[in-house]
Amino acid sequence: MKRIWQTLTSGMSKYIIMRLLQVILVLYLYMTLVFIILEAQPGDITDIYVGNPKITPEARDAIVKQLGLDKPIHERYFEYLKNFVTGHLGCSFKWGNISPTPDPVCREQRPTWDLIKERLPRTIVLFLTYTIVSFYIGFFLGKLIAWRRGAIIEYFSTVVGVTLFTVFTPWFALLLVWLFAVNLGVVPIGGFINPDSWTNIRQIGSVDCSVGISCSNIVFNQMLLWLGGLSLFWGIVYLWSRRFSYVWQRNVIRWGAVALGIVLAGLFFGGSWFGEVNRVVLARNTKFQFFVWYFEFPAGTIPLFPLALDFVQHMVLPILTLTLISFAGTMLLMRNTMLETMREDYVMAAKAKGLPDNVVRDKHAARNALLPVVTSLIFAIAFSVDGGVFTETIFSWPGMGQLLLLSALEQDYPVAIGSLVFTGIFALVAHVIADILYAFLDPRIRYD
Amino acid sequence: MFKHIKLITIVALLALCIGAVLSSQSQSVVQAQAQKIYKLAIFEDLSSLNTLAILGPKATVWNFYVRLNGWGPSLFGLSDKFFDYVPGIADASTEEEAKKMITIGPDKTATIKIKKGIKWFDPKTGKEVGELTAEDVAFTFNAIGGKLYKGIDPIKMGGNWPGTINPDFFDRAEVVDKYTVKFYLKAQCSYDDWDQGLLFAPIISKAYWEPKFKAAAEAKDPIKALYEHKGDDEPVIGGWLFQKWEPGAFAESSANKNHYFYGAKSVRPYSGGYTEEKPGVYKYTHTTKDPQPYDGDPGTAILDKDKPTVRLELTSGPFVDATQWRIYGDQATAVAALIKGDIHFLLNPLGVQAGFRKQLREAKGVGIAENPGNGLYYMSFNLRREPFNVKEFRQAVSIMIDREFVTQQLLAGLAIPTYSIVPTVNTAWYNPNVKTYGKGLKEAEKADLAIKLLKQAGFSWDVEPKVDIPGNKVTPGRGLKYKGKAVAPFELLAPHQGYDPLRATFALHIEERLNKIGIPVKVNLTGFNTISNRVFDEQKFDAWILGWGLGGLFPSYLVDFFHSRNSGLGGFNPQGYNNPEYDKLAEEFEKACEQPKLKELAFKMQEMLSEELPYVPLFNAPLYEAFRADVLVGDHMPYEKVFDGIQGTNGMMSYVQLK
Repeated sequence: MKRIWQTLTSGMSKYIIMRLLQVILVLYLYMTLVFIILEAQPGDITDIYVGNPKITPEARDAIVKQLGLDKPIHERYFEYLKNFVTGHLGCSFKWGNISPTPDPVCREQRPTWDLIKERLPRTIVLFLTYTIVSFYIGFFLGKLIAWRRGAIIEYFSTVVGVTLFTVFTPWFALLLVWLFAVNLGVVPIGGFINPDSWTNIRQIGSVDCSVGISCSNIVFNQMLLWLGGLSLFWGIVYLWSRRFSYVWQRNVIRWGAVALGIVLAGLFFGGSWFGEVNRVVLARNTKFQFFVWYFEFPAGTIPLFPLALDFVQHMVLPILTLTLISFAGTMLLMRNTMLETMREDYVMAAKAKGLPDNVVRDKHAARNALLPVVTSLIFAIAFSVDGGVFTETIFSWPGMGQLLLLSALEQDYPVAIGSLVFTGIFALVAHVIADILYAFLDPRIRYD
Repeated sequence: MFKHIKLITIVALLALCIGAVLSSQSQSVVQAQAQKIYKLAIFEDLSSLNTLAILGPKATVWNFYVRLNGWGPSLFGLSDKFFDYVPGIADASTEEEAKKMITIGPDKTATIKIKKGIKWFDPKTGKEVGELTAEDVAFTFNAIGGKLYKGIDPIKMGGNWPGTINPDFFDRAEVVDKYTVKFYLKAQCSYDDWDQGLLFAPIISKAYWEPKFKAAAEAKDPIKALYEHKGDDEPVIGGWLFQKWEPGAFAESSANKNHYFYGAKSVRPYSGGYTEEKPGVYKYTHTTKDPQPYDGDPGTAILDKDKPTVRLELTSGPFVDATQWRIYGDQATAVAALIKGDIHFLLNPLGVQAGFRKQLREAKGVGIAENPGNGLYYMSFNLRREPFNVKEFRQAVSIMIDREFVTQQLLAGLAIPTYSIVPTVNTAWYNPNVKTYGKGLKEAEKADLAIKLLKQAGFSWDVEPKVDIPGNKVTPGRGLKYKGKAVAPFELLAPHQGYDPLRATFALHIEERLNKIGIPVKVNLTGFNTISNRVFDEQKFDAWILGWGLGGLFPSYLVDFFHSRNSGLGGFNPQGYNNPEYDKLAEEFEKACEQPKLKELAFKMQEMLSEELPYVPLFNAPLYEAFRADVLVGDHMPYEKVFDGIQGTNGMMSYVQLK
């Protein structure tokens, strides 16, 4: 017991515990602030009926009562805290139940969590992809322009990057829509799916997704699952391959893993034709049954590949827009820290040893300059859950940003609060992770 | 070989991807492309599928557009474009028969016959699931009207229900025989509650809803229990079967070509009258040459050149395989989609924003229909306070506003100047003799007239404004006083530019003009919620500018907005207009049965309002709607000179045909 206490109260553990306690306190304050700010808005959700003389004041009162808006503010506040503690983010005022089995707490209203669950995967896929692409480009260019300081590429990248960084997002997004979607017709105009691809899809696996249950989310979630699983798999393979001394061995393992992952994903999303192959195999040999079951769910007889491809096509333009607008931030950050690092003695020593330029740049300078960029990336990833109001609106991407905007405008407090709190939790956790990562990435940092 | 493993892998993967893309032609896309799908852009997702909730607390226009289409007609309704009062599921073959049917007898009852052979359809399978009978009709009114189940009544159901089935008017409905229903009412006349209320109510399926109402009545909170049903499997009698909704992306209804009214033709000749017929099934004719009260179209354009005697001929469809509503986040993207041809029509209650019209007009294959909007934008005051309770003060304000200058010069024709509460294009109810204070006068002439009026009413100035009529100049005055007491500066609330540039522009114009004659007004451009909260919920305001969507054509709002009983908190008369003479007229209007009497009263009320000016009408905004003229066919396109435009018919889903 004493040992556990010592472990908990010493060094890093103590720091983590203290940070978690701080997070809880900050979260409570944040939740209260969000509640107060939203409640301080004039009017309520029934204001949307104010311009309609057919909806009488009595009918508006009935709605107010149904939604519990006639209760005193403190009662609603404690109800909101209670809901949160019990893992319930409340019930939307605006959105009605669309499930055959209504939520026992929300009844005729839709649970906020249900809405977040529907929107979150779409936002995560779009914004996570953009964040990674944008950071990679920013990191790569930042490293390059620092190394080639004063070259044309530095001026060019900086001018283009900063110009795009300061451009008005909606205008630029629309410009790209007109260029690539309307005039060139190479990408879809907006939305996250093409209705023509989905109109006849009423069931995936055993799930009836004809009305209200999103077929696209089933595929989307599979994509996310595969993306996460494959990243983990490739990460493990990459680390494992480092034990091999020959480069060709490492390459075979690493690229073999990449190929294997993509082929497996391709087979899974291939859907019906792969299911067909499996059925043939099954007919001959039942020992493959497990694989047949696995690959047939949730694809069934529907080929998921064109559907997944549909998402990817719709992601191209938003990701292009967001990346062009934001890569400069990472690029300049990386450039500055790289310039600092390049003045360090160990870089000089590496050069003096006669190491090739790209090795000094990539392995000695860039790796050490990475710390602020990684921190920035972690925060960007955390905030990617709230999406982007402009981007989601212009590209008709129904994610968290649109949900937050609509719920705030229409005073759907539970959804607005729920979305903000959800984002807040991510941001706070990201802060803690960043602090801890600092200690791991830079051995000089200690939190005693 | 291993040296090239990287290259080999990349090439192999690329080949795999390209192969997969090329071989992955989705069956769904092929099927969808083979269908004729009418595609509309909408700008918000559905918030409910439960049709009772959609007419209750989930009454958004987007829910209405998508979900209420397939429901089918009510007992009576209004014909398209000309708004004749015609039978829906009620069974009448002539105007006289219909009139007899809806006339409430001295015993406060009315007996309505319904058409035989109207079927209910399962929206999922499209199969018939029974016949619509008097049982369904009676159940609808008794169940929702609060006569059958504890804890359920129109007031508790909220939203549109109290206005549709007014419990102060409706007593009960009884089944006489399979196709006849007898209504027991609490008054012999109430045009708004009967002709425009109960008879317009949608009919629900007893077989589907009865068990749900019964279970709800047993629940702790019956209304919640009723609204918690998903409701996507509710049977319909109309032409659309709601079959697909991908939240956030699109919704789709398949055509139901087996519905009762499919193929019914309605004809309106220039000589007057109206005929609706489905050969061998039903026919309805009325011969009135001037079918009051809904002759909304003052135009004389020949819509079908091949039939010069026919003013309008419409055949009820659907003529497409499906209708698809695609959800767009903003209008700019939807406009791009329309120009590209991804969609056929922008379905929006406000039409297309001004900024996009030029672009759309220049786009190949795109058409724009212009229709009068059924709305009113106005300024009003807190009539409980001085000087707003002085009639001459309000008249002076109205005179000083140069509606023509603002709409034509500042707003480049985006709005139509208005002097009446009832829109001028509502020819059935608009009184052309309403006073139009200051219309056609120059700025100095307006100021001169306003100053005279103010002086007559007891206003004075520390420095009186000076008017040079020949030079059309006004030298500002200051220090306005009423009966010797200084008039305190007051606030005019108006929506900010971001919410509505038209109203914001008017507000700034009003401030500038009123300040010139020493009226100390200061504009506060703010959010809509702030205005509605301060005006309707708290009644803490001096003056405000807002607008109304006027709903139907029948001007029941003449009572709602101006009767003193509605001046309490949350009421429709927050300005506190209290005129016993007007109240008396309004009450007579509510009780009147006959059209001529109703019209006479509506005219008198309008005259009184134009004199008293509890509202200062400012403008009306026409509705511009964009569609693919090269794809949508039919002699009714463009659908112009019609109240509320194409969106008023939910995008003309029943008539539209695709090339």
